[in-house]
Amino acid sequence: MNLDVATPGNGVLDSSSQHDPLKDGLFLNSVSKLYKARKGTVEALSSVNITSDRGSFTALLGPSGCGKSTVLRMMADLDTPTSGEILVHGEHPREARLAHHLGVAFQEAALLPWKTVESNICLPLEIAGQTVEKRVVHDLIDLVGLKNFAKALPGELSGGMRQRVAIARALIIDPHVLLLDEPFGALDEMTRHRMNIELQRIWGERSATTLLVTHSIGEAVFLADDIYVLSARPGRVIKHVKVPFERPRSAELLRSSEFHMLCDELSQVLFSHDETSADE
Amino acid sequence: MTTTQANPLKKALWSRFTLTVKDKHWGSQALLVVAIFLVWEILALTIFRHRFVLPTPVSILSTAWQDHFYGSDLLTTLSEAGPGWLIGNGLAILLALAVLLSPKLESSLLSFGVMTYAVPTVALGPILFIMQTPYDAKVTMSALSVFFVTLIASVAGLRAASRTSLEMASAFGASKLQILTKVRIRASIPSIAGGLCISAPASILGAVIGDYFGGQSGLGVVMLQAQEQLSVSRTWAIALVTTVVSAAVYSFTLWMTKVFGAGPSVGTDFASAGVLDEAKSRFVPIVKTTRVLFGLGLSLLAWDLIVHASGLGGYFLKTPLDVWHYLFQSPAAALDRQAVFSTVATTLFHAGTGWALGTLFALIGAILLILFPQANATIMPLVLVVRSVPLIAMTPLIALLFGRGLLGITIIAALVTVVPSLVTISDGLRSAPRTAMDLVTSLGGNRIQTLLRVQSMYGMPAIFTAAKISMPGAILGAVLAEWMVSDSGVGHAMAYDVIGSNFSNLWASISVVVALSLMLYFGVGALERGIRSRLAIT
Repeated sequence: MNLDVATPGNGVLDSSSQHDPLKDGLFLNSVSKLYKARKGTVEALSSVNITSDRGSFTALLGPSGCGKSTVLRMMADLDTPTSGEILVHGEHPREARLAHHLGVAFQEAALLPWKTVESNICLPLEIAGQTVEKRVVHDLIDLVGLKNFAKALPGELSGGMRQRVAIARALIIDPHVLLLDEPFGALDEMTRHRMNIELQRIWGERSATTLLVTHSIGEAVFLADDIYVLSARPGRVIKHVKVPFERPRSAELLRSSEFHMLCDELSQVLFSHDETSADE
Repeated sequence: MTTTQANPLKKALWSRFTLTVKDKHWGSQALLVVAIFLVWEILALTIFRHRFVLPTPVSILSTAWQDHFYGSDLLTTLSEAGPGWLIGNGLAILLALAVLLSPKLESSLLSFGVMTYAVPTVALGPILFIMQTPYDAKVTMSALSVFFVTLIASVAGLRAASRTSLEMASAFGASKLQILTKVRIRASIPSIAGGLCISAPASILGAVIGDYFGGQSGLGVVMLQAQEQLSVSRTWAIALVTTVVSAAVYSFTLWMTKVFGAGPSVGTDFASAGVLDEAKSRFVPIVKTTRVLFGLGLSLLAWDLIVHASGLGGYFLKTPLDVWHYLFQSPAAALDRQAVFSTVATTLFHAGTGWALGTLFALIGAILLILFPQANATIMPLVLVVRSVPLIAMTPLIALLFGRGLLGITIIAALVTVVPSLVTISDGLRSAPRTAMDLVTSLGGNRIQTLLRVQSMYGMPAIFTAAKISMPGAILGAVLAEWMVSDSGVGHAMAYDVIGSNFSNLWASISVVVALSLMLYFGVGALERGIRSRLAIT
């Protein structure tokens, strides 16, 4: 594998200059974000470019505080870029949000504690004013492995189970775009592995274009087709990698040398950049 | 060494100063206040021109100017409120420390606190004036007005230390004393500081109500005089001075606690405290009820002992047994009981109407503040200051504006309710987790959907939290209004009892009012716990 460090904010778009961004899954064109602070402004993101195909799985990898969650929040129209352009499935995030085309899961499951698993999963339908057959809901509950917990309250579930509910909830409206912000970040390593394998299976059965924000290199390599590496603040794309592994990926892949080589190279990108920026 | 020690204080002072100057909302707040005064001026010059009840701000200010801003009366009131504030807060903090000795005492202590809160100060006033010198009586009333707020704040504070911080301290080998001073007491400071701030204006309220029973000078004294002279603009001017002074002592205490690094927590109302029992056994309600009843029993015993110790028993002061005898055992008990209950029923109607009105407005206000969050930063700090204004002390003014009938009394009860309820309900709506709201937004929901589907559920228990405090509060407001301006209700009956020296009936009325407030407080508290566990919201 040839893993040259790409020039920040450059190179990614050059190869795709002829293609139509409206047909991309995710499309970010020189997106920057400035925050007003007490003294002047802080640059959180600097000219970020990301593209992905429809139905593909993209991971956004970076150190804490590099602004990767901000990228996701902007795609979900929870935040707006200071400059630059964002399209999700050819739509502006606001259009996509108001058309109920987005599915989102955060690190916190954010379940409503008074609603059962089933009605928490149905919340997006209520908001969209849509109805689905009961069977569809139950199939989804089966898919995330919570068959016997449809009537349980969130307080009765473990952390991993709550995240399954959150993912099922994100999938119930068949979103064009699935946005996952460290959904397993608060789970223990073992549960996390298991959830990743299941996430891949669930994702394989749906056709959503997915963006996963994570700081775990292994998680990104295991799940994604494309990995974008962000630098520490201000976040810039310092690396774009296409992951070559066949799907479905199994637990054996985690033990293979190719997997570890890719992980090592990515961690070198992350750490070497960390050192150079520290020297500045 | 001195420089390093002096620096943090200097730094704190300086950062406070720069923060106030840099605060971008103070401009809009000042604008809002000016706008209110402008609208007021215009209303007074147009619609209210021939009704003499609403003078223009300019004429109010010029009256205040002519009267030298009631400086000497203000000093008298402050000289009563100051010691009252010290004594009430001192006692409250000392008693709260008992919780450290035994956490089991909390519920009992709380029931004692609620009892002191529910006693209509206005009815106790004449009795205190018999027992003590007027000055001492006013100090006592002032101390009584601050006791409950600080007690609840201190108890909550002393329990505020997190389990992990306590465990960490003991893992580092800290002694019991060190854990107490370095963790528990340290963690209690913001909450206690908050209690000190909120109780500062409350101490003025106590002193002003004390003035209604006599005295040579004081804000309440001049207010009554102004009312008797039918001097409308003077009544308003005194109310304005009282308001400004209350807001000032509140802000000053807040500032002082900040300078000393206490970081007071005054955003939330202390109504939410007192539901801290963490145990989840199904016997908890029974155990808690027993403790509450134990606390009430002790309070009754204390009452009995004070009466006997004072040597004024029999005529002026009545023991709990005397009250029981009067209401249930004497030959005329049935008639007396009926008389007391019927006046209390009238009061309950006044208080209930006012409470409902106040809660409705609080609810609408809280919802508007959620839907227009831009307004929140401007309005909420003003609301927090208004909360500190002793509205009950404005009774003569409100009677002037709205008459002495049902409307006037209802408005007073509503005013007592609306501000604390607005703060509590608004806090409740805002306690909804950010991520749950983001989720609804990302799913294409608008602000109203977020409000209905997420925030409203978090606001629901807060309505009960607010009611727990504001229901007894509305009763107190109604009793005071009836006493001062109306010709019905238990407040009016109490005033009549004092004139006619019918102390048996006075004590019976006080007892029934307190019992009713206690039932409301603990009843609504139980409902609150029920709805919290039903919604799984803690």
